[in-house]
Amino acid sequence: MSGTEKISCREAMERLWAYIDGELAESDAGCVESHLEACRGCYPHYDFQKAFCEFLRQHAQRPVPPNLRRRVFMALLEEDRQRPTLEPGA
Amino acid sequence: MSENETAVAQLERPGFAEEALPWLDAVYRFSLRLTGDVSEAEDLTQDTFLRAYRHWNTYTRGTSARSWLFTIARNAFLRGREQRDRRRETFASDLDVEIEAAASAEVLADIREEDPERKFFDSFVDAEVDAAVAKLPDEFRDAVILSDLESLSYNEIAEILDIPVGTVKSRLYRGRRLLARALRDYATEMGYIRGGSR
Repeated sequence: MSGTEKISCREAMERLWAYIDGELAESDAGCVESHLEACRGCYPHYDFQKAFCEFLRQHAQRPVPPNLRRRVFMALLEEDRQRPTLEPGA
Repeated sequence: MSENETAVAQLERPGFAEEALPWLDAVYRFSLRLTGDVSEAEDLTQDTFLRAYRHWNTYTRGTSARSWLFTIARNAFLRGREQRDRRRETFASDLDVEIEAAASAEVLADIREEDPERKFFDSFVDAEVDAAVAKLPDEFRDAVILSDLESLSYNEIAEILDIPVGTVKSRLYRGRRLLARALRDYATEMGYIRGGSR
């Protein structure tokens, strides 16, 4: 596929999630992009789905307990103390 | 000296502080989603990093440390859950990827039509989104968390969940569809959006 090949609305919708996720090959992504630029019916769907993904990511952020990093670090130091170091690839 | 520089200076196993420790926040968030409990998530995070440190010699430097850590975390979580005999019933079926992609798109298209002003996105507080994600069946939830919340690639998710990429896509799309429906139903019920065709 050249990336300029015309695709139907159905084909564009079937590839839309993969397009939003950045998982399409360049040529396939080009086809979807061209379709979205030209299609008044499909672009709003793309716009809304992309907004949905961004909405999920925004709500996903959780503060890490302040002492967790130190707690993990202390556990790793204790591991060093109790067990001899393994050589990389050993 | 920063905390990470201190770790680099003090940890014996070379590269661990630089490659693995930067993912501590992500591993904690993932653990929190898996366990649904802050205290269990902290324990799982520590357990994950200890296991990773013990087996650091098996990690190939320069590959995706995040995927490797997530795999360790998930396996540790599943083992712990099996031991507690609390395994939930799983019922994923791998449907055709394109059908699933189109179906999940249609649910969001419905919401868009009901809510052209996008009130939907302003309707929720974090706890409501958390609850909707937590209620997803395990298979779909894991795929949605790893993709939509942690931005991993399909290949990385396939590696972590030990399933083919096609199955990742199918579970992801199906999970998104279920999540969008659950959130839409909630927003409609609360009167945030008017609701319509369903």
